[in-house]
Amino acid sequence: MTQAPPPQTQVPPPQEAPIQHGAGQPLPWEPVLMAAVGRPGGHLLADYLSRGGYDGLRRAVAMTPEDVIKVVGDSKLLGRGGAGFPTGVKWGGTRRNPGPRHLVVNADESEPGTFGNRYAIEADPHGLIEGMLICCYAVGIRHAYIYIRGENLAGAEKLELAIQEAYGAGLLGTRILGTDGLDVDISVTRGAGAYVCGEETALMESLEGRRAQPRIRPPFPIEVGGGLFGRPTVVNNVETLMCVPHIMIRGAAWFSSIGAPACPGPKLYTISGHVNRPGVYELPMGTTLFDLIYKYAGGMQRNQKVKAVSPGALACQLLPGTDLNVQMDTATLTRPPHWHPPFGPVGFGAGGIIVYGEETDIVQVVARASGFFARESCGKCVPCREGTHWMGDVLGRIAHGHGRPRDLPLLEDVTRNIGGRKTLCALGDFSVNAVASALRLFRPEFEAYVNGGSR
Amino acid sequence: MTGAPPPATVTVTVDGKDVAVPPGTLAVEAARMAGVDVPVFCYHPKLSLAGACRMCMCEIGMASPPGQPPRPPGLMTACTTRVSNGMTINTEAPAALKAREGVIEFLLINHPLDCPVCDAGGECPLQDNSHAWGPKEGRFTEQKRLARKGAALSPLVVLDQERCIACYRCTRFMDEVPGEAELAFFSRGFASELRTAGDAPMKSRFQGNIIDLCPCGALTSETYRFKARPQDLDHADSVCGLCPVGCNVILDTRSNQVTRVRPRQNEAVNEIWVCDKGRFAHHWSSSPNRLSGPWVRGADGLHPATWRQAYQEAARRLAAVKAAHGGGAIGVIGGRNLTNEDAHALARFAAEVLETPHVDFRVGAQVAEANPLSPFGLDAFNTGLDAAEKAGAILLVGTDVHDEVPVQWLRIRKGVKAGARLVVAGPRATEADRLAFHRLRHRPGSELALLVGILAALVESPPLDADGAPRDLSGLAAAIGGTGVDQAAVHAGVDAVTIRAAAATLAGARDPLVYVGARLAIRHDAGAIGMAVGNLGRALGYPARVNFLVEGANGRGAEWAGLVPGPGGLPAGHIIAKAAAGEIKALYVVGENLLETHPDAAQAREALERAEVVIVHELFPTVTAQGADVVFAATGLMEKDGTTTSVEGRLQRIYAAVHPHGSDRVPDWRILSDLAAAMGAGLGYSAASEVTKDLLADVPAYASLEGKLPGSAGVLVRAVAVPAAGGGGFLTAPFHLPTAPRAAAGEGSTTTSPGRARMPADQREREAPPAVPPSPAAALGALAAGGGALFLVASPEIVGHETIVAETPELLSTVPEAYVEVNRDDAARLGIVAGGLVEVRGPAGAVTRVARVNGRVPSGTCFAPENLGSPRINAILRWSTEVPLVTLRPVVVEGAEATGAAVAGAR
Repeated sequence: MTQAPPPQTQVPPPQEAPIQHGAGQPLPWEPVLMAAVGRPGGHLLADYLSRGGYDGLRRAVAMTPEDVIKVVGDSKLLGRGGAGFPTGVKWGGTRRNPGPRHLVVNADESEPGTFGNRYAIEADPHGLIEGMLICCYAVGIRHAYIYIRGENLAGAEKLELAIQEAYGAGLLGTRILGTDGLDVDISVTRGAGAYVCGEETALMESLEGRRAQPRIRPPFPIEVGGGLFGRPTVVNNVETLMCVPHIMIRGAAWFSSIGAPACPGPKLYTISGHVNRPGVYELPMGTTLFDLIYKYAGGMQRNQKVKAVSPGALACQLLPGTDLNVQMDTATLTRPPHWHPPFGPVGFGAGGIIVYGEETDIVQVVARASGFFARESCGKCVPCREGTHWMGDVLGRIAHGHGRPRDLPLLEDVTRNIGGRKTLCALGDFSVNAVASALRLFRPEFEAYVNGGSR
Repeated sequence: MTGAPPPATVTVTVDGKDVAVPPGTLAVEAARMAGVDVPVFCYHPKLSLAGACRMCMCEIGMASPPGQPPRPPGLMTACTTRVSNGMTINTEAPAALKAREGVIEFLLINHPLDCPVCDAGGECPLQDNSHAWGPKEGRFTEQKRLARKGAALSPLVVLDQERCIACYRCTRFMDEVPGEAELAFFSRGFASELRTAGDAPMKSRFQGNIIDLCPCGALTSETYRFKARPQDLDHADSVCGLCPVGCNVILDTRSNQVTRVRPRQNEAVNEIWVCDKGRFAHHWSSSPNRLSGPWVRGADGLHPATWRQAYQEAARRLAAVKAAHGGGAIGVIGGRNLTNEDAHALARFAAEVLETPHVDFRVGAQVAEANPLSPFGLDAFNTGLDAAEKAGAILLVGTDVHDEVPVQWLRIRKGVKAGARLVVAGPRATEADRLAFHRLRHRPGSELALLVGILAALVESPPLDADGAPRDLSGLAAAIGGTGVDQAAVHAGVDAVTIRAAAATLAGARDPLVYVGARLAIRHDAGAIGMAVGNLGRALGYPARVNFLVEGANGRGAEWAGLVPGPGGLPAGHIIAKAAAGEIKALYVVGENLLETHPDAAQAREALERAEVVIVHELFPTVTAQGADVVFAATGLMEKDGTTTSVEGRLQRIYAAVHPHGSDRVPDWRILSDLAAAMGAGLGYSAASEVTKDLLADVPAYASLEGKLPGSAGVLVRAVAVPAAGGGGFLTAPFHLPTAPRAAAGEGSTTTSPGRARMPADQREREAPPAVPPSPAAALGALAAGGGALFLVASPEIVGHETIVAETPELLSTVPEAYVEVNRDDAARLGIVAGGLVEVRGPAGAVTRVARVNGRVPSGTCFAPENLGSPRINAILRWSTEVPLVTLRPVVVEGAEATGAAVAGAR
């Protein structure tokens, strides 16, 4: 276990000539996750190989699986799906449980205002496949599954093509890269339009052919009885796995030196809303909200002020527009002062930032958000099924100008009866975040609605 | 196989009270052990965990690792949290109460609160928990959800979707317990609704249990709907009288009528389940079609009479036969559906008053010995019903357990889910085949050959003893006369490879269990089958894990009470045969509709007609009763006190739910006692308890009770002291394997039994070339001169057209039209189409049936349920030791409409 660290490539020096990809300001380094964006045929195997593709896998298979997991652990890579679980710990934990084990890639990116995975998959499917192969090698996995959002047909097609290419090149199937025991098959499953399938256990239920509803934990997915088909399973986000080949090539130290020390690495930020240049930005984890909006996303439309920000799209609490110096990363947004009992952390989610300008009617925003969760609740647990619908009804009524003063304390109480870890999965828990935080931050706007109709 | 040492308990604190519980206990159960009831909706101890309702939220704190600061307790669902040492469970923490109040408020948002018109009102967990934990008033003022109300999921179960709180108990039950996933939630979230696939009516025979499981009145019983409120009901603990499992039930009555039947928990018998027949078929008790008093035959036929007249007439006629021909000219048949008290009185009546040895409860029996395992010093049934739960392998021979002992099928399923390997031997596919590890599809009637084949396979590769050495089975080799597996396989029509594999499975299993169908215990070769089964138990090293089922709710009780042939006595089949031949002069029939249940209807009719005297005890004016000279109107099992004994030998008490006061019906034991008095002998009984006292004193099986009756759970007793596990010699039986049928010219070479076709070529070569093709179809070639003749397999379905079922129209409507099941190859050959009408011609006539064409019966065999259709299938059969052969011919129906109706009826 005390081998010399794998050979590391020199950390590339900051580029003098900035690479532009739709940003207002030059990015601080050469992108790794989005390197293929804008390259004609960048999604094809030939292009990927020309960029040093599958070198990460080659490095990995030259090491022991345990060492691969150690490198990933040393890189301090945290899951990019929202929960921020250390990837190395997840892999190591799964490997300790008896096989057969499975890998499931959660590509069911359905959060409103979040589309980083979609860009990454469409631009660089081989990057994902390589990450998956490294995971399969490290954890000892024979079968890997990609569960992709049904609406992302283009991504699914790119993946299918890439998988075909990989089989043709001996990068999938049996004895990959001539490595004994490295046999991996990948299949792509398209979802059928349920937001809850982004929840890992509901995703596995759906993948198994059942009604998509979350499972009880424990047992956790990495344990026997908790994973796909009851087997220990690694469930990773697309972006998480796409970081892995780069970690293998450039080393854990390179990765952990990027951005926020507690949760380092490059991050695909998705910015939408009232900014001049909405889009996907690859930046170091921990970039401040101010930089994101004003340095890269081109500032606010019509130079209006920022009223509020959803840092991780609708499932997170709102950040007030006065709080622009906050670092956008998992560690910062899940600790005090970004913690509001009983609802917990503001949350960072998968980095889908929605920026609301000062002209935004926050009541309409949360009414929309609430309606979304009412529609997307799977219906398994009571507070989420009934509560989201009730909130949606009440907020819809308020937004239509039929609110009553007593609706506001009612809403606050209902959010407390749903949120605060009372539901089976995070969907219900997070469904109240937008409403509860809006009521806390923008109460006068609600009062204006309920006291005299819409403003 | 030895696991870790028995785990120590862990200590948890529930509301300040320490309680020691086994590790892995759920917090909700730990609270229960501490005497605290945590409210639940979705949680059910018999089902998988859902975590859906969030009602059981408690504030649960985990002990922190030593040296670390204590972690604050948090809200968790008690039904999904397993205890750990030092855990604190605060069931009434303010946060928990708040969460629970929230859940109730959420649940009532879309619940119609129509409790005043809901059947569940008064016994509804949602109602109770709302009162106990809910807010004083709801704050919901929006539009409630509108959904299906009064929607029939089947003729038996009604859904009110608006009341449904989506706890998933019903869907989990259907998926997990009977394994019939007929119910599911459709749509998402708030719009979720319970439906059946394609909105087809549910077909499961266990669906009634979802009514009990439903915590909110969404699922109600079609037969009980709007019939009563819980507070209107009286309750009587009883035992279901419709099959030998002996499910514990509660009979709820209103105005002296049974309004519903509910299962009563008995973990050793039925757990908390009951089948639909047991639940719904209770309306016979209050039927206007019942016999309201005795009948006596006069010159102009049967007419109502007073009890005095009836007793005098019966006594006179019986005395005349006895005087003229002796007691041996009287045959007594019946008793399998009576109480032990009735059975005891009948046994005494036959022996002391009629003085006849010809007594038998086993209709159609061909052998006198009732217990095929008696040579081994065993009872016919030697394990508890719950043994199936922990068996390593279960062998089923000659039984469709789903239809014969329905609730025990659920227990077998549980065992299989826990790892038991199921070996199913039978001439056709049954429900059990769905879970079978090995299927042994043998030729009809060749069960003995199959069992000998398994024994021969064990001789070939004996099971290993505890020390790892092969067990010495040389005695067994001698006992089966050196028969080889291949030889037996040819007779049974099963691949030798499959037999060897099944034998290896049984040999390698811990605590294997053998169930043999009741019919095999009364058939002509029952003795030999008993020998084979007993030897099998000994060869496997588990001599007392072999069991014969029995027919009738109280068949075992009747057997032990002595309703079996005495010395020189005839079995029931022979009694009928001799009566038909004029040698038995009088028939005394108790609760048995012989014309429908004796395997040869014509012979039964002949017997009733030729007998000089026929006395019948009955509930209904059945065809058999109508042929009697004196008919006594008896009370049924729900209407009398007493005891019954289930198939496993469990003595259980029943209490009368319906009191026959005002009606002119009398329990059988009283009829017998009074008739005996009229004949000048007198049994001297005036209360059921007196008979019970005699029963416990006189019947050896109950001697261990020392005259004391068991409590509500009953008590398992044995007629024979079951020997401890161990070897014991093998008994040699007169194994006369039936002469191997010769192959028809030309058919032998082209046989393709399904098993052989799938077998790899090298395996096929290793197998010894069989003397005759093992395919039943080929074997039939010789037997079926001219083609078209098929072996007929017949057995009762769980719910048929029996008299008592007919009194519950909702249940009757779920009974399929009488059908015959034909293999698709035979159907193609004979021009039979699925759903078309078929004439089934047997040795004694023909009946018309709807064809079911499938692969559930092998080619060369067909199946017809015994208890469907009028006339029954026994109308075309002769009572014989041979497997009946029938010919099938499509019936040409005039006009297309009639065909359409037939097709619709078959579905």
